[in-house]
Formats: sequence, C-alpha cells, structure tokens
Amino acid sequence: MPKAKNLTEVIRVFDPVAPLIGEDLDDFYVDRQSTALDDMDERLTVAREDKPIKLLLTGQIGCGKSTELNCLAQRLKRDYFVVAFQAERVLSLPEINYVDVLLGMANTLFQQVTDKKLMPLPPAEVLGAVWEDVQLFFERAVFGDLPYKYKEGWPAGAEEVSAKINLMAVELETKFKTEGISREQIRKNLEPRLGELIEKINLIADQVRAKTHRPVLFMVEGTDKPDLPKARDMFLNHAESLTSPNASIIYTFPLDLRYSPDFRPIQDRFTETYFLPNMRLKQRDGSPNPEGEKQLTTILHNRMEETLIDPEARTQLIEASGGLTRLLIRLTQRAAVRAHQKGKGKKILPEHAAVSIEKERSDLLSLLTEEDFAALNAWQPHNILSGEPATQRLLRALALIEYRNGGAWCAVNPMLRSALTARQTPKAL
Amino acid sequence: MLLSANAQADLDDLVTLLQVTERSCWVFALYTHASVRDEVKAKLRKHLGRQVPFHEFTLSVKEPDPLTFLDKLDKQKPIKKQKIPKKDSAKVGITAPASIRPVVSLLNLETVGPEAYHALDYQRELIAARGVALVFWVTPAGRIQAARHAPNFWAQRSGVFDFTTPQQTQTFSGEARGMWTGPVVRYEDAADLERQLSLAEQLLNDYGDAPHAPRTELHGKAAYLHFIAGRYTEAEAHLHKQLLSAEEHADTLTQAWVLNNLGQLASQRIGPTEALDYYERAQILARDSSEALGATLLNLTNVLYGFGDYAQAQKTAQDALKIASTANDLSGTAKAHWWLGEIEQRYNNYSTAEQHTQISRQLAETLEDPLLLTKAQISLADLSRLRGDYANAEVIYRKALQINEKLGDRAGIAVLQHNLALLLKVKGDYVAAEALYRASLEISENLGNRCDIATSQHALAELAKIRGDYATAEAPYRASLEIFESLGNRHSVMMCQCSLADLLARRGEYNQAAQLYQAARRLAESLGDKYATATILYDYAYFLMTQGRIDAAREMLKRSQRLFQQVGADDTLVVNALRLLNQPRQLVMAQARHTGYVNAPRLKK
Repeated sequence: MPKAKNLTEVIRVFDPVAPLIGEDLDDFYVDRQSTALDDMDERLTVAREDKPIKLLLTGQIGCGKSTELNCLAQRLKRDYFVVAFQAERVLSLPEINYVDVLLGMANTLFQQVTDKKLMPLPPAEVLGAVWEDVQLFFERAVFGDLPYKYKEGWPAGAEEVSAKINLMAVELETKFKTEGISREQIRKNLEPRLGELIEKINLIADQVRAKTHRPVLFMVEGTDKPDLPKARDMFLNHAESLTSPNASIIYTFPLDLRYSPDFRPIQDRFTETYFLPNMRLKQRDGSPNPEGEKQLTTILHNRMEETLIDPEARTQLIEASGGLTRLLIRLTQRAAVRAHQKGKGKKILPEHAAVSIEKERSDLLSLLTEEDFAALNAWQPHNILSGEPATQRLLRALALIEYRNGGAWCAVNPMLRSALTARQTPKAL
Repeated sequence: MLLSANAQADLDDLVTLLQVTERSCWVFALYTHASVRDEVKAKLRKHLGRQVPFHEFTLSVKEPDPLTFLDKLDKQKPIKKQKIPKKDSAKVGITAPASIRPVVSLLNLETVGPEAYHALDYQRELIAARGVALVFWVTPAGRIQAARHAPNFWAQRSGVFDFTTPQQTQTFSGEARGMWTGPVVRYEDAADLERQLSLAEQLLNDYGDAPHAPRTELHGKAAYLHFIAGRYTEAEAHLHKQLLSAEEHADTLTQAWVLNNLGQLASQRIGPTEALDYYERAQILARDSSEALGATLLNLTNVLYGFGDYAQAQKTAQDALKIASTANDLSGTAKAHWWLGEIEQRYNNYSTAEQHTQISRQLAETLEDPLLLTKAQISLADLSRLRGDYANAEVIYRKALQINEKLGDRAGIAVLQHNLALLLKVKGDYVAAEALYRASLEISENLGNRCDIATSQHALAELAKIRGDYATAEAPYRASLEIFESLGNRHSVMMCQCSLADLLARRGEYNQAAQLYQAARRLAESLGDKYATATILYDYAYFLMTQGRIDAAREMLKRSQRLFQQVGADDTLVVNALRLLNQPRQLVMAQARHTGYVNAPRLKK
C-alpha cells in the first residue's frame, strides 16, 4: 500500500487489524531499535552454523510482535528456510495442546516444502523414499481409520509423492480446523506416536538444510493466546516435546505465564526468552525520551504525508498511545475518520485527535474496577512486576504499559492520567 | 428519531470507516435501546448505499461462531468484492476503494455467552482473512465482556461507536431548591454562612421581646441559612417561630412566605405530598400579593412536577409567569421560566427548554442572584448532557460544584455529584460514576432527603444494570421504589416499576416483570400521562415479543402508536417495531430477547 496522500488513504493505511508484511513491511516498517529483535537475529545467525535453538517471544497485546516476527523472517530469509505457522489459522485454540502445535508445524513444513510455487525444485524428486515414508506416516498415524478425500485414489496431476503430501497436508489442515471429531481422533492417533512425528519433522528439516543450505526456522504465532492453564500445560509439562524438533523455533509466549512462578522451570527448557517492549516516550524517572517520540513520529510519517496531520494533533496521538504501536495506528485512523467528516477531508487537527483519544479512553475506563483504580493510583515505576492477578489484569487491559531499559518497568497508560487526577477531586469534598 | 449530536457524529464516522477501508475490519456499536439500534442500523444501511452488500446475523447458543455465518454466506452467495460505480464514489465524497467489501452486522453476541467470545478471540486471524467488515452490536455491559473475554480480538477493533441514548433519570429534588421565598440572604462562603448564622442567633437572644418585624426577619434569615447548611430541624424551628410571630401580628404576607418555606422544607425532606398542605394555606394568604402568589404557584408547580403531572405543572408555571410578568416581578419571572424549562426538558423539547432557561439565566444575572444563576447554569448543562455535549456539561457542572463547595451548600453538592456521575456513566467511567453516586447518596442520607436517597438508589441500580450486574441492581431498585411509594411520588414509582420490570425480564422472571409493567401502565393512565402510557405500552410490547406473544404485542404497539400520535410525538420506533412483527415468530423472539426488555427511549414529543 503506498504512503497516504489524503485522509481517505490515511484511513486505509492505518489498519489496526493487519500486521506489516510484504510490501507494507518494506514501506512502513520502523526500526524500533528493539534489542529483542537484534538479539534474536544475532542468536539465530550464530545458531545457523551451530545447533538449533528454541526461543520464546512475549510482549503486551498490540506491541507489534507479529510485525517484528515478519521483519525477522525477512532479515533471515537468506540464512533460514522460514516456516511461519499461525496456530490461530489452523488450530482450535480453545482446546489446543502440544500435539496440535507440533502437528501444525509439521503440516505447514510439509505443505511449504511440497508447494511448487515456493519450492520450484522440491527435494521430492531426489527423495522419493523420504516422501513415501512421510506419506505412510500420514495415512497410518495421522489419519488412521479416519476417512479422507484421497483414500480411494489421487486426482490427476498428483503422480508425484510430494504432490500427494501437499494434498494430504491441506486436507489435514481443513479437517483439523473444522471437524471436532476428526481432531479428537487425530490427537488420539498421534499422541503415542509423537516421537515419529518429530522424527518426520527432523527428516524433512534435514533434507531442506541439505538441499537448500538453509536450516529450518519455525516461527510459531498464536501460542501466546490460549488461557493460562492450557498454556502452562503446553510450555511447562510438554516443553521437552516442543523443543524436540531438530530446527530452530520461535514460539510466542503468554505474558501472564512469564510472571508466574512456573516461568523459571519453563525458562530452563528454552534457549532464551525475549520480551518485546513498547516504545518509550518517557524514561523511568519521568524525563522525556526523544528517541521514542522520534520512532513513533516516523511510524506516522512513513505511512502518511506530514501535511496530513497538524503537529499538535500528532503529539496528542503519540502521547496517548503510550508507545503501543497498534493503539497509535487505531487512534490515528479514528482521528482521520473524524477529520474526514469535519475538516472537509484535509488534515487531522487537534480536535479530531481529541475525539479519537476520548473514545479510546472511554473503552479503557469502562473495563476498570475500583480496585484497579486504587492500584493505578498507587502505582510507581519502581514497583516490581508480579504475576499477581490484579497486576496481570491491568497489563492485559493496557491500563499499565510495560517498558524495558535497565529492567522491566510499567507506567500507567497516559490516557488514564486525567481520570486518576479527577478522582482525587471528589475525595476533597 | 433524533440522534444526539455525538451519536450522529459517530454514525457519520462509522459510515466513513466502512466506506473507505478495504481490508477486513471489525467495530463495536454500543447501544442501550433495541429500537434505537434498529434505527441506526437502518440509517447505516441507507448511507452505505445499495452497492455495499449488507448482511445480518443473530448469534445463538447453537451457533455462537460468527465464522459459521460467514461460511453460510459463502455458500449462499460467495463473498466477492464488487467494483464501486464511479458516480457513487463521487456522491459520498471520498476516493473510492477499488472494490466494495461486504458489511456484516452481528447481533446477540453478549447473550450467547463465553463461547461466542472465545470463537472471536481464537479465530481472529481466520476472520481477518475473510475480507469482510463486521459490526458487533453490544450494550455497554457487552463491551466490557468483549474486552475481557476476547482480549486479542478486542485489541484489533477499528473502533467503538456510541449510540447509547441518555436515560431519563429521576429528578433530584435538591435541584428544585433555591425557590426559597422571601428575602435572599447573601453570604460569601461556608465560614461566612456560619458567622451570619451565629450573629442571627445572638441577636435573637438579645432582642427578647423586640418588635415583630426584626425578629421575624431574623428567624427567616436563620431558617434559610440552616436550610442551606442542611440543618433542617433547626431551620424548621425558626420557621415555626417566624410563623407564630406573623400570626400574632396578623401579618398575612409573611405567613404566606413562611408557609411556602415550610412547604419547601417538607418537600425536600419528605416529599411533595407533605408540602401540599402548606402551599394551599399559603395560596389563600397570598391572594393580595402578586409576588407571594406567584411564588406559591411555583411551589405548587414543584409539587405537581414531583407527582409527574407535567401538564398541570406547566399550566401552573405559566399562570405564575403571567402574574410575575404583570407585576414586573423579575425574580418571579426568572423562576417561572426556570420551571418551564425543566418541564420542557422532561418532554424532551430541548430547544424550548433552552429558551426558557436562557431567559432565567439572563434575569438571574441582572438580579445578581447566585443561587438562581447556578440553577439555570446547571439546567443548561443538563441540556448539553442530554444532547450529548458532555464536555460542555462537565465544565459547567465542575464550576458549579466549586461554587457550591465554597458556599457549603451540601444539597447543591449532592446534586452536582449526581449529575457529574451521570456524565461519567455516559463516558464509560463506571467506577468514578459509582463513587460519585455514593458520595451524593451519603450527603442525602445525612440530610435526610428521602426523595434524593431514592433517586441515588435508582441511579446506582441503573449503573449495576448497565454493567450487567443484575444481582446487585435489584436491591437498590426495590429500595428506591419503596421510598417513592411512601412519598406518593407516582411518576417516580412508575419509572421504578418499569426499570425493575426490565431487570426482572432480563433475569427471566417473566411473571413478576409482566405484573410490574401492568402496574406502571395503570399508574400512567391514572396520571393521565398519555406520553408515559405510550412509552410503557411500547416497552411492554417488546416484552411480549420476547415471549412470542405476537398478537398481544401488536395490540400494545397499536395502542402505543395511537397515544404517541395523540400527543404529537414521533412514532417511528413504533412503526419499526410493528414492521418487525411481520417477521417469523422465532426471529421476532430472538430479536426482542436480545435487547427488547430495555426501556423505550423517551421519544421526542
């Protein structure tokens, strides 16, 4: 999407749903100089020649994890055969378990390797025996007694084993996504044969490495979304399985679990955990951080002509975002919508920004309880972040925003400041 | 139906967003009244134009997953982006997108339960891949649920658009103060009030058998200052002494003033019924003084207003205005206009209300009467609030609150806390709203203002209901109803019955809900209030629709429509509801169950 040249285009370009990918990533991405991304990049570059590593990536909702992973994939595409697996697209998250995740990863890998568009010269031609082995595994271990489309015969054009694998992988994805009974049966079939599944992943990953000179890197998104008990079961009780494949893996990881007492044993099973912080507009001591403001300004100016936003409105939106990128995107989109109505389509003015901020504030306020306000009133940047439900609730609601420099710290969402001040007035009555 | 300025702006924003964006997006549309929701939906559809495919789905326990609907839609007619005709893009005044994306309106999200939220949260990527725009219609309680149970989906929303309608609220009786008759006592602040009070008490002790006139005046002054400070017992004692003195000296005019003030006190503390006797006695004594007669008529207006008999209240206030204008009584004229403004506000005639209130404000400025000026400003702020201009309302409320704090006017503080809480509620800051309602309630309890206690309880119940906390809402509703019943405030009783019926219907206690709706209707009929009767019939019709009693609902709607037409009110919403009845029974029930229990908005008369 090209840079916005009028308000209509601003509304389109500032899209809070889609993370940056492809051309948008090239055009709009702003290097947030996050050590997390650089560190992961460096670690993975080193690991390319060494043994695979298993990383966890966490961060607040809307901090830009997906975009950063897309960026990392872009950076590493020459060094790695990147397999991006979005658990949400394939699996049923309410009932997700470690078997599902590994099967999903395997399936995506098999699809990607056998997709002729992606792999014009698939290793299939030289590795018929390997593919036959995988095909048998699909038929016997994955589908078992379950009916599947090609049980009785393959369509024309699927003479090659790799083409058959591709069709089966697509069929499996559909079945797993939509049929509860099939899902249950596949899990039952696979659980005792998980070792074999991992063996197949390793087999293909090794082949990819040998033929493309690029080791496989899985980027698994959506594993931060399940509720806490499910996430705990996956990452704590089945960490060994999740880290078994002979490929490097990045799993997104739930923020709640990072602050729970279970995190320490989990941490020990993975190579490293990275936290993607929000952009800082202020330092921990409250002094301004011009670098953060510059980055957020660049986010806006990369996506639209500078003349489309009044400098004061820009400052208002940036300050209200607290450094949360998705929030800044939504605030700008809404301000542009209002400007389109009221300003005859020319420019985002401070009054348009104010309306947008007020709408967002109203959403935020409606979520908070009296206890939340008491906690926010008492919150100091030097407070230690904990797994306490109250603190976690505030982080989830984005009433607290987490930053990093010299350790983790949180500040109250700037949009709540006026509400907190106003609350102190009635007390004086 | 007229949308508030804010709601209209949000509708325009929503139309723009849906017309301009090209990729998947989802928004939440907030509402409190099913009929307003349907009206906004119709307008949205109209503004989007025929080119934009518009679909609607009602989620249910059996089918809680929006994707199921999108799949069905695919099967019926594959979701395809259509090319937008050039002339239409020019009409909407935007750079047209390359293609048109379907808009899907989704109802019933919050009544389905956690499954619907989980489906959204866990499938957001799949939904995002569908290339549709989704509009989820939720109440404020639904907004909270969506954010809590589907945090990831919520985080990617393009916005929340507010079509909630301001609720008619119980009148805070404290708002009617300032109609104290007789000379106005000026004081600087709370300390000055106490100083003047102490001086008056000392002088009264010193005077002993001093002449009638200064003693009467001092009792009146002390009563007024005690009244402002919320010390009603002391105020009453002084008024009785003043009355005794006036009776001994056959001073009928002073007797009329004092009886009016005793009525004020009774009205404030107990309710309008108790005040009536005083005012009737005052009316006889005041016949030789147009000023006193006008003041008495305005106090009678207050009583009638408290009873909910707005038509009679309006007539009485107009009589008072005539008397005051003829006598060139500026204070009486200002007060009469103030009352007429309040009554028009009750009828939702905001521009006429504003005209009256502005006249009152201008006269109060001329007279340099701070209490009346504050009252007029608060009324203007109320009007801003009702019209959706919350920022302006808040500025005025906060300024008035500061003045009342300075003056130590506790009842005035309670009023403003209550009104500020109404604003905060609208803005979604429920915690702050509750804190202010409770602070206001505490003052009213300390002052013993039963009417205001009941009003605060009703407001707290409404707040709990809006947050979806139905269990908490019942007790304050019942407490409020009990007080209003004991006060004989029939209009408020009627409103409480409707609110409680709505709550019980939401909780599935249909028999009790039906009984309350019927009781409220009978009360409205006995008050001769056609407008309220029409509104209750409309509410009741929706309730019957939830039960699948289509014929009975149609009958109620027709009766409602006749009454709205008789009083010259807009009946669009009734027409829409009648149209809904032509749908299959199950669909009517599902639609009505979603939100049908909510009270009808107070339609514009």
